[in-house]
Amino acid sequence: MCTPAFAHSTSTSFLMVDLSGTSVDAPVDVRWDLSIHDIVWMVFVDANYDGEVTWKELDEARPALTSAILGQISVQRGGAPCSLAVRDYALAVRAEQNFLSVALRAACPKPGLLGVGGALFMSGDASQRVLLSAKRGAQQFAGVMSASEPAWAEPAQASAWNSFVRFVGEGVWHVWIGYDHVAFVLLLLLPSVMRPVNGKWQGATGLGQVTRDIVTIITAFTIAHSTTLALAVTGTVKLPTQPIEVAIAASIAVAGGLNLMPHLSRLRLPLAFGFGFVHGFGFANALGEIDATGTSLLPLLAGFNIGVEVAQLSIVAVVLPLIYSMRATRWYAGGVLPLGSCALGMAGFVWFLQRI
Amino acid sequence: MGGPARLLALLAVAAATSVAAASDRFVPADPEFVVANVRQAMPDEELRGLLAGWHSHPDDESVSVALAGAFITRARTLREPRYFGRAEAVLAPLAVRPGAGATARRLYAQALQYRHAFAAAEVLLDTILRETPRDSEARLLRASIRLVRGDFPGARGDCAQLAAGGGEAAGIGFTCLAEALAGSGQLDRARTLLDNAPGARNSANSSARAYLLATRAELRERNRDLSGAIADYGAALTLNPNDDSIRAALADALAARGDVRPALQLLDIEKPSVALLVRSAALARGAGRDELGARAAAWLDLEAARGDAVHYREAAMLALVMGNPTVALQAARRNFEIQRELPDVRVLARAAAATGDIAALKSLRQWLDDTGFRDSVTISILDAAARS
Repeated sequence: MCTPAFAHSTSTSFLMVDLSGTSVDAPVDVRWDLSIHDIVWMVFVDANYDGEVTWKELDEARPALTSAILGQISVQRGGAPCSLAVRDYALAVRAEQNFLSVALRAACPKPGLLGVGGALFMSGDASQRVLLSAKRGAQQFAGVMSASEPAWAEPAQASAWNSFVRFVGEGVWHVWIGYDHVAFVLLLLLPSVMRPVNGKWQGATGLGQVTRDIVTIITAFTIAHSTTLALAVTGTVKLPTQPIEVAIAASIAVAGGLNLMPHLSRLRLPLAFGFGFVHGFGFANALGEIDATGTSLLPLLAGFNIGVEVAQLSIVAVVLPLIYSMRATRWYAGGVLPLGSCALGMAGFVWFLQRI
Repeated sequence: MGGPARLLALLAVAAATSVAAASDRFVPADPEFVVANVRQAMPDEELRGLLAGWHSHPDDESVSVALAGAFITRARTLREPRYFGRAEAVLAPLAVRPGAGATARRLYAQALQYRHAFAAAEVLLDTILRETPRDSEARLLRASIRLVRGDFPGARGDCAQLAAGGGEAAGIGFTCLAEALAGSGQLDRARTLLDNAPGARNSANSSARAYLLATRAELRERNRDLSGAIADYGAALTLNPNDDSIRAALADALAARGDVRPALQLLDIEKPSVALLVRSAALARGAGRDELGARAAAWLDLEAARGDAVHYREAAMLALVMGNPTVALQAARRNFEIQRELPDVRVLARAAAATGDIAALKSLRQWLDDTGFRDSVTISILDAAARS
């Protein structure tokens, strides 16, 4: 099978490194898929000069191929060079072409982090790229090597505790700088110190009642956004960014509107729960912008989620005493609550229009 | 972009492994199994001689220049971009050396131009032209880069100097001048210039004649004279059958006239470029479209994983074909930062209209007003978007 090739295909090889060995001195398996079009510049393989390279010709050129390939790649572990050997040759189809797939094994004298380098067939072709993927347990890494950056170094394993602490901070920071999430939490808070009486807001009677109300609503919001955040981060559910951002803006506009209608206050709980799912996808998109190379999933997810909760609770801790103290005043029921809700709801509506 | 996936570096891994997803490894049962046809990839006799000379004298600029020139010629005639990479590798240490010759730097600029490093190429050409203002090859290359980047006044100056310089370059200079004038909205003047341009029409250089015809075709296309454009593009392609941009433009014009089947036949060549593949996907129906679209997407994903910035235009076109206008607009905007030729203007207009992005529509209309660039198709797209 000589497949139709991409025209204009530039030189690319693919390097796969398996770092899953259980012991520190376990050999490292490396697979290198090389374009025949690049190999023919290094090793004479077209023995009969007919312009077609057959499997037999490659097979007969094995000694020269092995020598050339081992001269192009180097592997180190813990700073010490590893001894490389070719285990076997096969073919693999990539980009509609047959690639020579070389299985290598690296025996390393020292434990530690792995490094890959060498000429990698790049010295004669500035467009040559080596796309590297490495697997270490559940973690995966990727790298692009070129003539100007001809080496890859295995990232250090971040400790679970350090990852957790780092992502708690990321979660807190995301909420504090995320004006739309802050707006939504504020809209949940503003009526929490009030009760609907005959279609109008009146100040709630006691702190216990207010606390129960706000804890119930914030918990519902948290359960919902934690669920979708986990689903998105684990890749169980994938949604595009734009509709999520639109829906988040819509949630703010709706929450603002609802606060103006005391007789619909019973809808605040289902609203917080329902839109919580949407906000979870928003958190996941924000989380996706953070470089998490070398981080395990569990401390990352737990840390970010807890960070988000800490940030939300900090907003509650600052705002709630303030509005609780103002709840019985006429200007809270007639000014702060409706005008604040209106302003935040309008902001949500504007964001909605901007994002669709 | 799926943030969570990127979070875990999975997208990057996907880029590295899945985009050109490897099949399972296999060992052919038949020893005579043809693994690859390497006729075009193997160095021919002339190249082997030049390579041997270069290996013996890697610091000899004339030897390196001869080898790089041979690489670039093969890149163009064989449609084999690896040769541009090889030329760049030979020239990179030379071209930046103090006292490097103009030819080495000019060839290096060509290699940079190929991978759309236009700004770096232009800087290099600026230095050559400061030293040697009459270097017509450097001037033509700078003019072509300026035209691609939408710097029509800058290109106009270079083209006018070429036209005034006489010789073979003068004919190409008149065509180039017409293209620059057309970019600034002077379509009628450009057309008059092309119809009366001395040199290029009767040039022995078929590429120069193809360039004139393709330029006139574009003017006709922008004035909605599709039949005239198709005739000119067809004649240009006959003169220069390896030019994928002319083939793509002809296919676009045929498709715009409703001649879908001839357009598809035109695009169906051995080793199609991604520009042709995307157009085939746009014109195909049913499973054929999906298959072609998947091939083009795999190609573009591989380029993205490599970090190349050569085919944002095609990425935008494909996203439109596949019904993803948001992605299309993103790619079209990135592309427009790099190149501003007719297909770039149109794909940006289409993507902006498809998303209804008011800012993008306004910004494109502003660019048209600022430059004077006129294209009836683009104007129609923008007007329709404004009405809806």
